[in-house]
Amino acid sequence: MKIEDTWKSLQGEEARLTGEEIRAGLTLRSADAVRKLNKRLAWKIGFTLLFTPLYVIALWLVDSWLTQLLFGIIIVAHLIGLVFFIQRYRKARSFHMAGADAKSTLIAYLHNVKATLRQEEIGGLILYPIAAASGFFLSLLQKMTLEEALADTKILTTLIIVMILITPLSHWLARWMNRKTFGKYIEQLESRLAQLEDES
Amino acid sequence: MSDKREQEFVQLLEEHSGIIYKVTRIYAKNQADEQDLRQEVVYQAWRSYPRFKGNSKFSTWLYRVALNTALTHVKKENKEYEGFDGDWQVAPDGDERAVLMAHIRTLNDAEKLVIMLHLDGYANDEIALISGISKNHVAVRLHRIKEKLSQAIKNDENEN
Repeated sequence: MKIEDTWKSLQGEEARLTGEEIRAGLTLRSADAVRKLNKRLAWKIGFTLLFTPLYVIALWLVDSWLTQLLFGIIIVAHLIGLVFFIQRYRKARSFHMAGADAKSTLIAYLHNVKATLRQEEIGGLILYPIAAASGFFLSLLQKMTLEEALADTKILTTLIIVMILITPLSHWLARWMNRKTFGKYIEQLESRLAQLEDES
Repeated sequence: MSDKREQEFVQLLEEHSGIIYKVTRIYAKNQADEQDLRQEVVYQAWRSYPRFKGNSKFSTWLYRVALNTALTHVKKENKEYEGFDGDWQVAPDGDERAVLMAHIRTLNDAEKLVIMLHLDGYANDEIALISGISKNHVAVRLHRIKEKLSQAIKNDENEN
């Protein structure tokens, strides 16, 4: 093999970057936004991993069947969430923005991130009332038995009010946090997408 | 930057994209990493483009940007990377270009830089300027690298 000749042959078609590929890499805002979003998806895995053992510990500490059941549901939900986030994170990492079809890659990537957040928020709507009830009973059952608590209309009314208040509040908080951590980068990618659409 | 400036940049980069291809191919640890690095080089070139005043050839300037980006990338991303050919796919039999790339990848970062610039026709003083190595040292290194590469390729050919 003649090194010089072989090297020269590397100038062929496969070595060329197309205008579209170059434009896709023009703003690191896109690349950087993707990196930041991926990192934030990884945080979700981290938080789930952090909180699940805490619920497992809580499950061991409580002796009422109702609180155990509620904590059990929360743990299962967290495990499902963990698998869900890992899958979505892996998918997000598989996108390469400098590929030949930058526009459709960006569309698919954005869809993946937005769907992840939306599904997490919907899942939360089911989980918040259960978490509120578990917390409510956890503190209440320090002072009375479960039978006493369930027989008291005032306590049950308070529980319903707590659940009604906590659920939308937590949902709003979750959306606010997602907007705060993901929103800026999603917007950057959306404006890049609009730019790509204008060019095509 | 204006659309006209962007268009001019894209056109120049398209013409010289072989440089980006070669640098990223040699410094990236695998195909996926190559894509990331390529994007990073394009972006860094775009960011630095306003400072390109045309005092040197565009290709020289682009080489400098690509190499700096690649070396930073290697430091940042490949802390755990050691070994012969990373996760690159094995070169198909008879694909001399892939074999050459694989052998260049085994060189250290400075050697890769010197041989790449030399093979792309840069004179020793230009290589010295880009790499920061003295001109005499470039000549000595180049001789050693070429020997090393030829020997490795010969060994490879004998084995097959």
